[in-house]
Order: sequence, then structure tokens, then C-alpha cells
Amino acid sequence: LVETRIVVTHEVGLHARPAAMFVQTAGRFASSVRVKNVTTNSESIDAKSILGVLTLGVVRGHEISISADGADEKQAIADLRKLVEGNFGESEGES
Amino acid sequence: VTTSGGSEPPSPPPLSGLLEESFVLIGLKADTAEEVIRRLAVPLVEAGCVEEAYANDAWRREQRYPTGLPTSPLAVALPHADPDHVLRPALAVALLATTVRFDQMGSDPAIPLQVQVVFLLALKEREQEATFLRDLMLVLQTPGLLESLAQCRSPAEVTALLRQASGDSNS
Repeated sequence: LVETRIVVTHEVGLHARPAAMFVQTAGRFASSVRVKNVTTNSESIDAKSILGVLTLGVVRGHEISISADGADEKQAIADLRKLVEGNFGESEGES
Repeated sequence: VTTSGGSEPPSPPPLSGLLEESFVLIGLKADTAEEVIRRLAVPLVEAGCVEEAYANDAWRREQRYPTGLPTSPLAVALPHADPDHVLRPALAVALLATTVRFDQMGSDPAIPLQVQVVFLLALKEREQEATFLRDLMLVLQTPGLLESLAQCRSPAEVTALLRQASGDSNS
């Protein structure tokens, strides 16, 4: 099991396009991937479920915890971190 | 214009405040997602909530970033666009006469969904979307809510049901 914490800095938080990209990325791995909103102390939910991710209500500035469990857990965490740190492929201010 | 920084974004207006009976379309007959979005925008334009361009924006965005969600037992879609053409925040709802294909949010390649209920969302602040969608998702996942919604026969029933459900979820 690998776990990481990261602050979401994207303007719209983890919803819409960022949420979709997050779910798509998590879905590429065989490992079980879970995510929770640390800031609101939410439940941990399946990161491959768009319904679950939307229910987290992650807005800009919230900290999330991502955990992966399985054969490719390290790569899953690395890729998801990169996605969030890279602001979901957007530069600041771009819509 | 919002300032950047670590501060919490403003809370969105409550769901019940955005919904008016004239924004509810019961038994809407439509063949495509585009048609549903355009029809839902009409009452919002008439009420002065959005400019006419909002429908185009929402449809363009829907094609790039689909908003269908596999809620149970009925799939829903939550089309929306950036706030450029929003004058006053609002929420419009369509109960479709027959299901219409939307694609699932976050699917690649696209997963088609046969959607029964569509919410057209018009917010003035991009940053409020995540919180608003979370609240709406919690309401829509209230046990029995979607079944009850699909059986509504008047706009007043729909607004009463959603107001009650959103009030309960906040208490």
C-alpha cells in the first residue's frame, strides 16, 4: 500500500475536467486506488468512480490523500501526483 | 474576477434558491443531448438568467467534457458551461419522455449512457461548481429520490421534492 497527500491548486478543484482526468488516470492501473478529502475529513472513496470523486467536493486549497494497493501501486501514485501537481495539464488562468 | 490564493472559495447559492418552477420541463421529448441542452436553456434565457450564447457554450463543453453520470437507478447528466454568459445563477431540470444518449463524465473512450433526467447548471463563479456539484450529487444519491423525481407530474412537484431533499441533506 502506497499513500500520498497533496493540495489541489486547480481553480475549479477536483471536478469537471480535472475530476474526469483523475478518474481516467486511476482507471489505467490494476491496483485498487482510493482518495479522500483530508480537509473535510471525508470518507475514502474509489478513485476510479466519477460519482465518488464528485462527492468529495474538493475545491482549490483542499488537501487530498491518495492511496493505491496492488502490483502497480507505485506507478499509480506517481502518475496521480504528477497529474495534480501539473495542475491537470493547465497553466494558471487558462480555462 | 477572483483572486488567487489559498482562501476558501465562496459557498455556492443553495440548490433550492436556483430552481424555479418555470425552469422545470416535464416529459421533454428530445432526440439528442444537444436538443435537450438547447431546450433547457430557453426558460433561463427568458428569465434573464443567461444570455442566448449559454446554450452554445454548454453544448460545446458537453462534447469535449461530457457530463453524464451513472446514478442509480436512472442516469443523469449535468451540462454546464463557464460563467461568461451567466447573469444570475440558476438551475434548470428536464425529465425526459424517453432516454437520450449522453456520454459518461470521465470516460475515455466514451461510455454512452441513456439519461433520463438532465440538470442544466448556470453558476456565476467557476470555483463554486465543485461544491455545488457535490451538494447536487448528495441529493441525487438520496435513496428513492430519482425514482420519485421521475414520477413527478408537475414542475411544482419537482421543485418541492428537490427543495425537501436538499434541505434534508444539509441538516
